[in-house]
Amino acid sequence: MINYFDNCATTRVDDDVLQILNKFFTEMYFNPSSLNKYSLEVARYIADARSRIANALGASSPSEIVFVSGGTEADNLALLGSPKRKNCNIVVGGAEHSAVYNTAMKLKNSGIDVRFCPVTTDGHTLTEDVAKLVDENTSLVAIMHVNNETGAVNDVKSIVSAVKKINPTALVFSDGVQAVGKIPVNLSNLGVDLYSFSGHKIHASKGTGCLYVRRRISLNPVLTGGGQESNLRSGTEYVGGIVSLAVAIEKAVASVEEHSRAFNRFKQIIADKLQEIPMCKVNCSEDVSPAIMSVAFAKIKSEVLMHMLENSDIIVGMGSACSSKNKHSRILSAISLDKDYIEGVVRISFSKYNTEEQVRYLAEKLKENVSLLRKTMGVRF
Amino acid sequence: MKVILIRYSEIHLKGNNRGFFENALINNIRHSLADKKYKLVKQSGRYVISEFEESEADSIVETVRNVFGVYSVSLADEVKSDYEEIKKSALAIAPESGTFKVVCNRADKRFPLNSMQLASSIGGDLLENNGKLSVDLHKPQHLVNIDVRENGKTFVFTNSIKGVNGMPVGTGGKGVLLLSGGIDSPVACYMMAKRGMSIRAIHFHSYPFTSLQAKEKVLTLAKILKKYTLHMTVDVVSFTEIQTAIHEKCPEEFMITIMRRFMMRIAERLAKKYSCGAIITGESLGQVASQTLESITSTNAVATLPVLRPLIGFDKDEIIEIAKRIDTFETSILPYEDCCTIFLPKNPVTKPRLDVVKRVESVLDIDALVEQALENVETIVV
Repeated sequence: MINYFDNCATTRVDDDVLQILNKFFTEMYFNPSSLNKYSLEVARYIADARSRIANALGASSPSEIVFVSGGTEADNLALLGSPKRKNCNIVVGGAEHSAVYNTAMKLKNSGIDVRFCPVTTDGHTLTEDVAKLVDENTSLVAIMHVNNETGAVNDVKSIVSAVKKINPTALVFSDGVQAVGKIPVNLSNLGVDLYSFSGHKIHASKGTGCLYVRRRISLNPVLTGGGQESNLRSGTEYVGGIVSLAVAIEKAVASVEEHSRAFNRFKQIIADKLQEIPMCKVNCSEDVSPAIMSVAFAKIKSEVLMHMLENSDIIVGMGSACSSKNKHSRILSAISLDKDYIEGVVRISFSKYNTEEQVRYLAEKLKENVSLLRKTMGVRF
Repeated sequence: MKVILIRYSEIHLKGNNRGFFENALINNIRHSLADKKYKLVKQSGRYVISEFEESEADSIVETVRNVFGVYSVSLADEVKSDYEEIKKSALAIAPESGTFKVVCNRADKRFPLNSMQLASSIGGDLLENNGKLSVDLHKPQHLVNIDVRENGKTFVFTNSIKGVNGMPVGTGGKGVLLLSGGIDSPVACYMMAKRGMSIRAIHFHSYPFTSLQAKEKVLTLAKILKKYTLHMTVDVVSFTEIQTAIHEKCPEEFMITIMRRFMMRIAERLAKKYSCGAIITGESLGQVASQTLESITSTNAVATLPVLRPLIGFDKDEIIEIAKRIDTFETSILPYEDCCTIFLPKNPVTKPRLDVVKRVESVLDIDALVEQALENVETIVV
């Protein structure tokens, strides 16, 4: 059996989700835009899913939920599609996911003033740091809700209110890919204008996700075509994905508290074992998502540790899977991790399918392999 | 009828053994075109492919021009050796504008016009037909070739497409290539295959210090190289035990030199097992610490077979240029680390002395480590 602890990269699909997907792949495969009676039925399923998701996440209207193909597309639509005035600027968090960071860089290269906000050593973006960069010309502020590498939870609500105090017309966007279903999220309460999330991080299908667009905010579509999703996202809807996403979100949201308690217990088990390993540290331990634990081991390469663990059927992440092809994680550099530690960061992320027994096994194998690896590499403290 | 003319490169310089080279070339061309329907015949010092699907003409030309030993390829019209027929074909394939020259070759002396007369007459026809054309006998932009054969047929074609030259693979013996996954070793493979060598590759793999993706990358490179080598087998050797043993017992600065010596020993054993007469590496003099003359002397000392280093005098830029041309560059620069980059010493020795190297590695049970590595070779036919 695989002991899967890389649930920030992706998750196993929930059984209910799979059942719905099957039904829509084989029985309800109709195009919701066609004019036959079956199409009307699938269109109703989409409408129902939209209102269930809006409800589960505290949006004020189903029309605020736009279905897209996932987090990356939602982030692109938010950054590229939001209106920009002449001589405007954009404020972007310093530890954003590549989908936000690289899109911001694209805007920067097109001549827009993009201001990157510093992050704290545990990966948080502070309200006062954001406020310093916002002025009357700011069109958009993009600060992620939960950092995908350290698990740091940003105080999005206070960021929104600080930004709006300086410039009420500036839009605030938050990437909530690692937040929805992992920590409590109420969109109306957060006050954000735009908010992205993805299905496959919470046991729905890959290729599903949403951008929350607060009412009366008008975006320019990135994809044009048949005018689906109120003209914001053309392309035939992934109906089964959308319907099952609603189920996945409802299930995840309903059990956030219960899972948080379990995940915090898991973290404690690992933290206890880490006490027995010299020269290691947890990268973020306050205001952190219970689902993510980022641990840095001095003087080892996390890729090697990851391969050693996979030989014991344990899968963990190293930095972010999306950036593991790059030499150093941009985010780990942004949090100014000491050079002895920066290559040895392992990201452990939990899901509802993890058990305490698996976590104990992981903790034991971590200790064993870190020690073996340090011995092999001739590292002594 | 459309035909494809194939001219070979230096094979025509061969004497009594020319048949051997010609057979190898023809077999290699047939091997490359295994999935196509066509007829291939030899006609006075060149090969002619006919009876193929016209829609496949470009793909056949592209495939054949990449077979080593091929000098050039032309897509031609084959017509009856009759003036009107030749003229019709020449008009059809003539360029739309610019300067041109008609080149005639008359093997069939019964044809009523000699080469000069035929060239000037067809040239006149082309000029009359298209006012945008003009003749330039010295530096023409386009050629119109007319080849009157002895069998009553004539080939009419425009420019020839350059082939990759070299010698047919299989005529230059067999060699084992040290294939790392970097930029250089695939180019070294190409260079030796170009001189007719049959090649099988050895890859040293250091899982869990390197990823399975690194091995996959090497297999992808091997697949690309197969286009030139025609056959490709990769022997994947697990190198982890050897690397950790060196790391544990030998001075850090000698890590790479000793590692390279182990690679050579294993390569030689595999070479002999598979009747290969040479070891091929992608070394380029002075490129890195392990490629200085002193380092090469140290690694070379454990090999009895010739070690061929076709890139020894190449700059990195020149190697990259070839890598891009042979389509290996984009794969080579994928970021997965290969076994050379782990346990990398901060200050590797650049001028190792052979006697010192021998002394520092003598603490290792060299034979046992080599045997152990050879017992765990994974052979993959790509």
